[in-house]
Amino acid sequence: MPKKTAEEEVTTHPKPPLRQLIRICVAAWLVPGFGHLLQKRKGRALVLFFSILAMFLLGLAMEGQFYSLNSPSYLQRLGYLGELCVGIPMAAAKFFGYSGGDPFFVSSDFGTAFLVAAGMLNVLSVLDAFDIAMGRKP
Amino acid sequence: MVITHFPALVLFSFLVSVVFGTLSKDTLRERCLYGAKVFAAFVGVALALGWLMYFFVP
Repeated sequence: MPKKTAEEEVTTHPKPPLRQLIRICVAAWLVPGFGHLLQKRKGRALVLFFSILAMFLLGLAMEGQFYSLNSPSYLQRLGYLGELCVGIPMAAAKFFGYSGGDPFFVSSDFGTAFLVAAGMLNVLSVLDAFDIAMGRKP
Repeated sequence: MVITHFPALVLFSFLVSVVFGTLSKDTLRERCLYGAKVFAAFVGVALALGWLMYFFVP
């Protein structure tokens, strides 16, 4: 059976209501993999949840820094937005007393990279959940 | 957690490869193959660049 083109997939799959799309994207942002779970893609949801969370926790273990939106450096403000993209894990870390890392710790730079990368991977996860909701992906 | 550069690189590459494989392909076999390719590329390129810097950078 020939594979459908993207246009054919979109026309045969009804576009979901905007409210549902927003709900899926927000859920996917807040908890890594939750957008996939809402759409019954349990395997993908589990893999994304554990891998993104593992990256975030490793970043915390390496004393990675939490950037600030009030930083004078634009790059650090971008880094803050990147870390924010991981969702609830960042808020939970702050709630449980993670002070934002020790910049003089030997592995701190690696930890910061892990924290930002976890956020960026979650952005990909949100976009994937959106594509699934739009019918562009199985 | 004290970790040196290479183990950090391998860990990072592994986790990113898992996510890339999961998001990019549809079947389990395709995901595993693609994830393995991405992981090999990450680590391979890092090693290649490391050796380049060793020979060419004073």
